[in-house]
Amino acid sequence: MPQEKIANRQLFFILFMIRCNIAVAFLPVLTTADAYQDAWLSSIVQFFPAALLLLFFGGLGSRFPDLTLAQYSERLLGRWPGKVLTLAILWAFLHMAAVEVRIYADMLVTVFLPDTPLLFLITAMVIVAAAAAHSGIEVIGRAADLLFPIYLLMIVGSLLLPLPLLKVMFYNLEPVLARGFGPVFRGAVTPMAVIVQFLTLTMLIPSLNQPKRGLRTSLAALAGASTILIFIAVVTTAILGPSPGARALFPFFKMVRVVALSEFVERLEALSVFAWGLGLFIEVAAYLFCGARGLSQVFGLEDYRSLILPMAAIWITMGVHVSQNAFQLLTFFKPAFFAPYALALIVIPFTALWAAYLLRKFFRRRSGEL
Amino acid sequence: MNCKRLLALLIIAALAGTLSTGCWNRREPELLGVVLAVGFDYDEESGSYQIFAQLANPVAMGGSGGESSSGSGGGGGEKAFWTIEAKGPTPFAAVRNLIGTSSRALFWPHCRVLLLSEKVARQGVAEIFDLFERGRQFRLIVKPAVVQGDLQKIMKASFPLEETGARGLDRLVLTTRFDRSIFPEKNLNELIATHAQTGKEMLIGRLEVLETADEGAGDGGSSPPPARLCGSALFRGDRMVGWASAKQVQGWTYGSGRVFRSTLLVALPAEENRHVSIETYSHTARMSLHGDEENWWIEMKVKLHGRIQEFDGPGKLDAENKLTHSLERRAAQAVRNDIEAMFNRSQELRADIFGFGNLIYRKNPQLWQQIRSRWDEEIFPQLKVELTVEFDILHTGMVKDSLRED
Amino acid sequence: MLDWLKDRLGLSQRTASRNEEKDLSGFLREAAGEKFTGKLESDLKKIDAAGGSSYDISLRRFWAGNLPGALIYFEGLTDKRATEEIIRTLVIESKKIGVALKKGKGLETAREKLLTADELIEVDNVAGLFAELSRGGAAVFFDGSAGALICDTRKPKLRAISEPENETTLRGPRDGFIENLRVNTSLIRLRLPIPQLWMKKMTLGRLSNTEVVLIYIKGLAREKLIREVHSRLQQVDIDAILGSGYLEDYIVDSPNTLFPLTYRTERPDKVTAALLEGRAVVLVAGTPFALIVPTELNMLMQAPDDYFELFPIGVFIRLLRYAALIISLILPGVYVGIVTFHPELLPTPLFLRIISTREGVPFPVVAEMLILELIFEILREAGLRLPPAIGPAISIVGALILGDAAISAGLVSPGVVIVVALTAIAGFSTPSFALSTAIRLLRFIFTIAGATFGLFGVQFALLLTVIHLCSLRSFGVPYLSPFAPLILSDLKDSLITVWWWGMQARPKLIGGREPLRQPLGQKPQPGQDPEEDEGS
Repeated sequence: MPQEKIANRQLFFILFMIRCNIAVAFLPVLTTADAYQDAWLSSIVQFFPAALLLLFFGGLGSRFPDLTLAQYSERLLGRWPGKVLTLAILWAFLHMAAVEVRIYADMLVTVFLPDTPLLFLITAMVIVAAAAAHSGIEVIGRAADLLFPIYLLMIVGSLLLPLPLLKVMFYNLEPVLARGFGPVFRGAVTPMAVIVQFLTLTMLIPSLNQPKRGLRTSLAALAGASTILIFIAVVTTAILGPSPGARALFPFFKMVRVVALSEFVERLEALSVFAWGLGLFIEVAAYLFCGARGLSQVFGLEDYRSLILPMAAIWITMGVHVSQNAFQLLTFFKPAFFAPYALALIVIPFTALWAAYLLRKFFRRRSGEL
Repeated sequence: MNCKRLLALLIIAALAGTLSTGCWNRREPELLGVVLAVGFDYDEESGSYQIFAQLANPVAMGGSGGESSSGSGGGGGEKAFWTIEAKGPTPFAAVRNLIGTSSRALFWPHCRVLLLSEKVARQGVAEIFDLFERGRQFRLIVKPAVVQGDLQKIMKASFPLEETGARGLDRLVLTTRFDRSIFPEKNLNELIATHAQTGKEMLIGRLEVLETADEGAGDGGSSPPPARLCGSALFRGDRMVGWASAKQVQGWTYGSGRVFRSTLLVALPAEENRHVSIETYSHTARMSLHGDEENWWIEMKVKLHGRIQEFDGPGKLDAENKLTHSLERRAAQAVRNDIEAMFNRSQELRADIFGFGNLIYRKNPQLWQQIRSRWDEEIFPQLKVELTVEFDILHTGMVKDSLRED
Repeated sequence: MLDWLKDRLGLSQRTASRNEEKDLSGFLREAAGEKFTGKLESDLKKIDAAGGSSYDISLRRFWAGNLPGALIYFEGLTDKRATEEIIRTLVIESKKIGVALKKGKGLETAREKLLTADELIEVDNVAGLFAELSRGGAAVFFDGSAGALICDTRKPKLRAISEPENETTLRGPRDGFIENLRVNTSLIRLRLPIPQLWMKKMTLGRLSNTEVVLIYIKGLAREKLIREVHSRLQQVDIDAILGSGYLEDYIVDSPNTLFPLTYRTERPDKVTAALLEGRAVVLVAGTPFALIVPTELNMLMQAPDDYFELFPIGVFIRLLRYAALIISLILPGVYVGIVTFHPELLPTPLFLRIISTREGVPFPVVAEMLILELIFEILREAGLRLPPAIGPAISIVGALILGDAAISAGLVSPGVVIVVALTAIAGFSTPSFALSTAIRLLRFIFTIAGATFGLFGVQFALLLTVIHLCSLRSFGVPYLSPFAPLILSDLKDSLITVWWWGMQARPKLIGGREPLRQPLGQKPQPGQDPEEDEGS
């Protein structure tokens, strides 16, 4: 079976939607810390450490353009340590996907379908994603191609609609930096740590048309999504006000909800919810594909497809039980909890991998000289 | 292949499952009692909220019936809405207690008007605002107004030209906003944002119930209007502290840059008892903070453009002359008077509705930290603001001079 | 005489008893194995037996010199004058033929003499004979020659070339394919008079022996594609092909889909345009429908008029058509979803109006919607099967009486009727009938999804559709290209169109061998002012 390939452009779209969706979901710059009206500054600040982390864990991938993380970790660290490490990364996929599906389902239950069991919403979302993952990365890539313009249009549309209201609301963005850079940095912590989503890159690099440029593509996606994040932060904070915005569970959604330009141009929140759903679909499909692929490589299976269904079942259970209530999810994304968690998932495994890689290189050169 | 079939099966099962059990939230629209307007009152003796909800009555709205539809809004036949009421210790409890009086499930998202009685406004509106912010069925695009007069009366009154009372109130706000700046139009979201801001107080428009409200449903030609929008209620925190008149509100709109159109009456320089009407149509207002932390002052600059709407006096308007200059000066003075009237009223009530405190907080947070504790009681009531008003008359309408020949 | 009769009877009895035991494939095998011996009488008997002395077999005996000969053909398929001509020639030349026959070269001589006939083939078995006769040939037998000479005497029974009824245009050419293969190929050849227009003939169908022609432009269509189409066609083993739809089922990439993976058209201009993009076309004898492969969704949304109109109008029409496609797919689902799950998304006056029209309607919105959709489908099917003279009656009864009575009786609400009507009209604007049929079926699924989960259900169904469409391929070309995978240069002929001089490139995945259609920079410039010329 020839290896399925996706274009770098498609990777860009996938990662863009993955990243942007977090902002659409709960706008961590505003809601997780005390940045308030400086949230848009946090959106700029978060880019730099996030990009550094991305370079840190993505850089190894461009040294092994034909191998996934599961493969090169075994090569670098040896069989069993490599497998354990891969499983840790796969856990990150599982957990992030479960959390994000859960937030979406929570939103639906809170706002639209209060009597519908969470289980059904999560199942529906995961099953669609599983169907896509089962069809392969090419199909996910194509779906991203198709959905990305729609996604972007809906988000930009929901950002442009409130523009007429913005004039009188700009005072909500002042004072700038009144409390120094502390809150700005605190606001940037969670969005920075959310870069853990981009670990999918380590599994997707061999599927790229130009694997060498994969890292550059993902940096571009990070930059693009961060730009959208800035606009979302500015508009949301301006329209809702800093503290009502920070108080909201789903600030972007709440912002679109209060747009009322005339008797007929109002109640447009379906736009943001639909964009969120599209993004989530691509996101979960990518996670599921990467997870199943990684797991099949860990277990030495030839085809990842047989793993999709059992994994989808685990995903669903995980989505339902990832938190008992709204508070646990909120706590999870607090910088004090989420940042160490995410950083541990990135820093520990990849430090080990880099160390092994550099040592090997060093010794090989030595032996070469000798 | 097998796996694919399983997946397909799962999808079908999910669909089938949802079909059989999944009507969790499905509600046929005709089973909903659509709330169009809601009013809150407060009973101090029992300490309970009283709620009035105006429901749409689709049967009377026509469409299905045909004959019954004509003219059902105003007079004759059934009214197109129905008002129910309940009491409860909290706003939400009051909402819950409505259930049981209505044969249809209450549906709130289409509620567009929120009326607050003077009592409930003076008692505090934070609880009601929280209900609207938190509840999934409530929307922040609702338009609030404080009612001066009998809340129940206005909730049951109908507007001669409109199908429902709520629609009447809603349109009333929209129309008033455009043609005279005597009512501060803000939706609930903006009010909450204002309330959450430091150093800025809320201003909610006033709905004055006219004595004739209950005659509203009389026969079409002669029915008087049930209510009038003008003026506003000033708040400190979430409590109302006093009323402002229409003129004062006009001052607020001038000062805060929210004028769409407003009309000024300016006395003629030659004959003081005759007036020129000038309509303003474009304007900017800017507040700025000057000086350092020791010695600071606030400037407010208002610039308006206007056109002459009515001119019946001596003098020529065919060139820039003494008359036009003097008209401009007088118009500027009139605007100035309005702004000062509102400013004085707000100082009197210690409700910083222009947001001078907020200006200091935004422009100089350190200064704000120093004076914050003294602001409400000491500094604001003594505050002096340097006010400059510029007025340019740009148009004279379709003609130049007046009809008089002298 | 009696003996002969007895013999004949006995033989026929024997054959009858033998025939009763045999099945069709036995017959076929026997016919293919049955070689002509050269003895005229026995050969004729064989033919008679194999053909069951069918009513339409004509046999005319003649004498060539002193040897008996026979001419066999099917009445009605052949041109009377042509058969007369053959017999006349043979009789005139009978001496020479008789001489040649003795040397065993009768057929060769006859062939030389029968130059007036178009096409001369020799066949040596019964099966081949019948195949040729069915095409309008006449077979000449001579006693002593093992084999028959088939002369082409066909009398073409042609329908006039007329405008295809299913694909009408305002400004396009008005000719359409007919049931005759030759005419159809000629219509294409007329438009592309180049030697590189290659047409490969195949004969498919065990019983029908249908001629199938694979047409492509050599050097433009990808070799891989041609090989693929060719091999897929070769693998078809079917008893008869009565229309191109039969073939389609065999050659598409994935049978598990509602969406058409080949493009069926009756328009030669459409076919030529497809050839010029590097696609392959399959023509089947006996049907006016050509199959174009590979086919993308985008292609199904193109109508000939887009290219004959001015560019901005083309863009407008194209966008409109895509909008109509989406409306016809999701509108009923969205309506049911919004009205029963999310009435808060509707503007207040609209929602109040919907409620007031639903007052007293006994069915839930979903049931109303599904019932009306179903009624509409029945009406459409009934209208399709009726003779044109009665057709309008159905629409009067259906639309006017049924719809109006249902609303005034309060059985359905006008909102749903409007939605169903709008959906149906939007569905009609899709140029491809096959696509609009697929959408019609999907619409029911969307309606049910909208009724169970609201807009979330619609989104669920939409995503599943997207996945399905993304995983489809038509002869290796992704079905959703140029949208997914996104090919920017091909978007010029998708949601929008551009001027012809702007459409320089062929579709990348199909016409990549010769990517440029025409040189760049042909944007028209205003010419020089004629007066200025005179002045200088």
